Order: sequence, then C-alpha cells, then structure tokens
Amino acid sequence: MADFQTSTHRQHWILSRQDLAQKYQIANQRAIQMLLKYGATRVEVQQDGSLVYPGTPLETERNGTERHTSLPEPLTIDEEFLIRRYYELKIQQVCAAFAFPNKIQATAVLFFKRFYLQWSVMEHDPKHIMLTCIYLSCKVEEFHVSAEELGKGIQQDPQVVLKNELTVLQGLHFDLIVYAPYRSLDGFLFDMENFVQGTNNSSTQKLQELKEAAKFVVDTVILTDCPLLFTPGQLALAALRKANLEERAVDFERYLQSLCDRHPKHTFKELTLTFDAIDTTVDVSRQPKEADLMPIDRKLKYCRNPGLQDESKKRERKVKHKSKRVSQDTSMTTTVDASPMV
Amino acid sequence: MNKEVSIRRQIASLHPAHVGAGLRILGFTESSSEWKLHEYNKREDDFPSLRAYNDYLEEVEDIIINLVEGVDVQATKDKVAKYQEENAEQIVASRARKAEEQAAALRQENGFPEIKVSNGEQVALQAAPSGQYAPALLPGGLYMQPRPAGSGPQPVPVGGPFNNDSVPEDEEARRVRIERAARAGGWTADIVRKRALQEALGSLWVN
Repeated sequence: MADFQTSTHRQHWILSRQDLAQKYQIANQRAIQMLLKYGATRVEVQQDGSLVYPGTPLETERNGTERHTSLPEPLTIDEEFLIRRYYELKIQQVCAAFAFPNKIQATAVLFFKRFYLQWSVMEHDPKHIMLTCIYLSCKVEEFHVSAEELGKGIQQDPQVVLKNELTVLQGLHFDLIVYAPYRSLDGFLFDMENFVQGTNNSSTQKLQELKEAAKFVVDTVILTDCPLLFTPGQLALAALRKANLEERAVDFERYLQSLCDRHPKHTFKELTLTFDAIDTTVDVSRQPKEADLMPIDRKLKYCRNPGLQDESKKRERKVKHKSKRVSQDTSMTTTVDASPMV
Repeated sequence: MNKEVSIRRQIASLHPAHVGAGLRILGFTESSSEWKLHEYNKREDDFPSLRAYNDYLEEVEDIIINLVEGVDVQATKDKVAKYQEENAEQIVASRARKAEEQAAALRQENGFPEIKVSNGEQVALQAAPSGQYAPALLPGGLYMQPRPAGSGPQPVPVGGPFNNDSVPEDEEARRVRIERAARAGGWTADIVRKRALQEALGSLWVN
C-alpha cells in the first residue's frame, strides 16, 4: 500500500516557506527576462511535446522607441498568485461539474501548484495547464476519462490537453502520487471513534457531521499554499480542529493529548503550533474577485501575445480618430478583455 | 449489412433450422412490431415434405431480399400481412413452443440457482396439473407456458427467457451482491480503516 514516509510527495514536495518564495521568484524573473529579451513570454508546446521559446530577440535599434513603449507589462508575483488561485478554484468547479470523486480535484490542484513552481504563469497558459492537470489526475487516480470526453464536457479542444500532457509531466518531475488530506481525515476520525467510544450515543452522528464540515475546510485549505508546506496528516488534523470549533463534536485538546501520548514522537506543543500556522495561512489568503482578475488577465494576455496589445492599441487610435461613438467604445473593451475562462 | 441483419432478426423466431444457431441464441426482438416478420417461424417438421419446406424457405429469402434492397416493399409487406392473418394461430403456437425450449435450455444452464420457492408455494406447485412447468407458478409468473390445448385464444409468452432482470433487483440486493463480490476478492472493511489510520498517523511528521 502507498506509504507516505517513503513517497516522493514527502521527499520532494514539502517545502519551507523560503523555498517556496524562492521558486516563485525564480520563475517570475525568468519570465520577465524573456519578456525583456524577446518581447513575449509564451512558451509554445509542439505536437511532439518539445518546447519552443519565443525566438527572435527584440530589435531595439531598428524599431526604436516604438518597440520599447509597446512592451507588455509583466505580472508580479502576487498577481501570478491570484491567477493561480482563480484557476485552482476553477479546477474544483470543473471536477464538481463532472461529478468526479473528491480525490481527483485534490490531485489536480496539487499538480497545478507543483507545475507552477517550476514555470511562471506567463510562460504556460494556465487554462490549458488546468485542463491537462485534470486529465492527468483522472488517469492517476484510476478514473480515466478520454480527452475527447473532457473536451466535450467543457467545450474545449482536446488536442490542447494532449499536447501539454508531456510538458506537465516533466514539470512535475514525473512524481505523480499525491497524498490528499481526505484519507488522513478518515483515519483520524476512525481513531477518534475509539477515543470517544464510551462517552455518549449521539457521538457517531456528531462525528459524521464533523467529517462533512472538515471535508469542506480541507477543500478551502487545498486552495492555499498549505499543501506544499505541510503534510497531509497535519492538514487533516488542522481541518478537524477548525471544524470542531463549530461542531463541537469532540474535546479536541484531550484527543490531541492522547494522540501525542500514544505516539511520543510528536509533542502537543509542536502540533498546535503547526495547526496555528495552517489556520493563519488559510485565513490570510482570500479568493480573488472576478473584477480584480480582469486587469491581471489582460496583462497576462499581452505578455503571452504582445501582438494583441498592438492590435488593441491600433484599434483604440482608430476609434479616437473617428467620430466619437460611445457604443463602439464599449464593444471594443469587451472584446479585449475576454474573460479568463470560457 | 446491418439492415439486413436486423431484418433477418425480425423475420426470426424464424427458421431456426435455416439461419443457424447464432441468431437463435442471440434471441430476437419483438420491439419493432411494424415489420411483423417474426411470424415466419415454421419448422421443418411443420411441412409435409422437404420440397415444401425448401419452397417456404425460398419464399422467405425473397421477402428478405426485397426488403433489404427496397424492391417492391409495399407488395412484400402486403404479402407478409396476409400470411400473418392466415397463420395467426399457428404462429403463436410455434412461438410458444420456442419459448418453452429456450426456458428449458436456460434452466439447464443455470441449474435452478435463483429460484427460491417457499414451502407453501412448493406444495401448490406439486399439486399443479402435470402439464405446467414449475416456473410458471412463481409469483410474478414470468414464464407463462401456454399450451395449445384445444381451440381458444392462446396467451403469448411474456418477456423472453433471456431477460436478465428476471429477479427484480432492488437497491438492497444490489448492494449485497457488490459487497459479496468485493469480499470474494479478499477485501474487508478493516482494510479501509487500517489504510486510513496508517496514512493519517504516518503523515503527521516530515522528519
């Protein structure tokens, strides 16, 4: 059976906060460099899986100042984070729409996170990567859906998914087994049953409710950076603690104490600190609103496709020079900032 | 080709001798009643001579060809309808006979596994007139065995014997079946607990 202690998840994919920040920084800088050098950041994926970086260096001498001013603005790390967060939520929604088992969305979100540790959002289109992550996650979690089915379900081109598959796999370093907190959650609840046994009869009912509430908390926790910083067991217990604050199904302190007594490797204090850290991370991070995302997405589009920016600028100029028709103005803006997701 | 197969099937319950075992075992569908060709179900022993039987077979083949190729479709259909009227009684009887045979074959295969009869019913069964088959008296009476005994309207067999949901399976029975299947593969509910616990306690610490 799968063992967390010997897994790649534990060895490679639990990082410290500094490591995490560093990786994001590296990816972001690399993309900015590419932007300055080539004017675009999009990394094309060929049919055979090989990557093509934007090739032609900017000819600053020839085109002079015009080129300089039309350089698209790169995304900051925070903006990248917001975009990623948005797409991770989208993954959860798509998986719910398809009625996939719970673990699939967890795996897909983790894949997405891990992939964007190596690459910047400007380099690979998050929408395509999102679909590929869902597809891969279905394969890994033994719930295979064909790319066509996926494409038909959400009206996207299945070829996109297949083209990106190898890129995503390489970005994950082929470490595909992901431990989601859900099974650990069940484990702790079984343990709690034994602990609570003698107390009262309605305990099973309360534990059920606790389980549902905790699952909901885990869904939120998965969207933050926590799965890359903490182990699934810690996440599960933290979720249980948080859910228990509302449900009050069990005396959590006592349970935790008994757990630590039984497994002297963990101390009560350390565990509590961990849970506090998780809680603060979750509380601090917020779900971005659509309105906030629009400008970021526009920036992203221009980074990947600087041609778009030139086009829109030309259109702007044309409109300003022609008769001032307000309706045309509004129609132009809607075509430019197409929504990030279909 | 598909069209021809479906037409043949419809003319089926047909010449079991003619079209061969394959189609017979496949069963037949009575769903597209509009064709009504499944009346052509005479058998060799129905005919006085081999020559007459062969003529009959040829007639049926002509009909099939006409329908497949779309030649004289209306005339062919008329012919079929006329045949049906003339031989209504005979058609039903031979269908009944066929159903009985299939039921017997199926029962031999399964060896009566799912027929649970309570004691009371068993008594009733034994008391039944000898001509009736036991399954006919099951509650729900799926295998109705009409006997061409004398004149009079004959009940048509209901629901072919190859209908797999012969035992109405409710949610409970289905769950039980699935669990039994899982346990046959070595699964126990305990495995789930152990795995969850192991993962939970094993993944509490990185170092």
